[in-house]
Amino acid sequence: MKLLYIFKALFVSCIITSCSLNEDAGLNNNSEETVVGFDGTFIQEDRIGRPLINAIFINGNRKQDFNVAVTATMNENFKGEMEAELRRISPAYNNATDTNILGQNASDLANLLATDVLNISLVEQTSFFDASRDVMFTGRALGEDVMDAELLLIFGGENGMENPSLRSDFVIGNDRDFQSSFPYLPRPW
Amino acid sequence: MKKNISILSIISIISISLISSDHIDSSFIRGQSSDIADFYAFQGEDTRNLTFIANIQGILSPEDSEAANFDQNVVIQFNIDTNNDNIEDLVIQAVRRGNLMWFFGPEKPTNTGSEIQILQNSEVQDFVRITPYMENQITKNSERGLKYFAGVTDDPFFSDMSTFFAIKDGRKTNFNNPGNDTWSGQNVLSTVVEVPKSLLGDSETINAWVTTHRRQ
Repeated sequence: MKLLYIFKALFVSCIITSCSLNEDAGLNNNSEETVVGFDGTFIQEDRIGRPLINAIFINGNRKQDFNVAVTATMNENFKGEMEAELRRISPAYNNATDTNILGQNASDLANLLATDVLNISLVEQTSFFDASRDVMFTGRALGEDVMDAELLLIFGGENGMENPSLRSDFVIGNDRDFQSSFPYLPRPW
Repeated sequence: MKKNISILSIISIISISLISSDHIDSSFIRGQSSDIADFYAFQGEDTRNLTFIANIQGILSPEDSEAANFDQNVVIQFNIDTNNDNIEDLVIQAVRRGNLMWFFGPEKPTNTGSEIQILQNSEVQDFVRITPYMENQITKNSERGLKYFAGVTDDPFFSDMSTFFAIKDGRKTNFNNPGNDTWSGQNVLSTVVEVPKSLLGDSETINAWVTTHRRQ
């Protein structure tokens, strides 16, 4: 009788275990909690608009405040500390009259970036920052060097030539090619 | 005796399986399932469409990628502001159920801000099978002209973030040339939805951002 009980217990364990391995293969049975339906209330835990804004400009325990911020309130809540951090890390804004290649002073750039959204055109080319084609802030395409774009605005000064060892990270592209058709992203490693 | 050997065999199989299962669970939690890595929005191959990409749980090593999965209690929401007030007028939501990623929208949200509900209008619901790790990418085209994908992909972001943080912290004064791509050889969990621009309002420009929300 005891043996039968053990077998029953083992049999159930096997089903549960093999099911969670099936989940590994993407099948629709698993031992995790079963979530049915789409009801309920969901609370924000993270957000992103433009790339790297939180990583570059927000410090310490304010990072999670940024992650749970409601977009329309971000400018008033984060602009001041973002401008201070911009001035702290970049010598390109040391003087009151200093600007970046777009003619923005530190306050102007912080004002733009503090409302963390991607501005997107539905009628033009979409690009985060393509100075060569004079297209900027109309989206963000795969393959764009957004790190260099932001470093240029932070460190490049009025003519984009200041601080040559800081205005680029010298990483020139992704490690896999993108596809021309949906879903555009490369296969994983 | 035979029975005892059978029991031992079963027990040893179960032990190995449970280790594998724990590995799945710990990876699931370790990945901070609501953590957004990146957001892209660009004109599609069909220029009448706009493509949105949200990458989460970055970065995933190849070893962690096979067990990685979307959290069924986390909604990924693309927020679209059509009148430049930085409040979402339309949303597209994605949430996993089993091996499917369900999509909702674009549609006016029930309420704006940090506390959300999933859209209830069944006319704007659809789903795609989540592509298992390293298998051919599974996509779906909907009758409304939307396209869907969800699964593990290469992390498309590239930058020398490690050196940037060293500069920010005062440990370095410059980047190296050539730089070292912090994200090389790493993966993310991607959710991709392509939408006819005609479903995104009448404005020539929009603002967009991605949020993740956990079930309470």
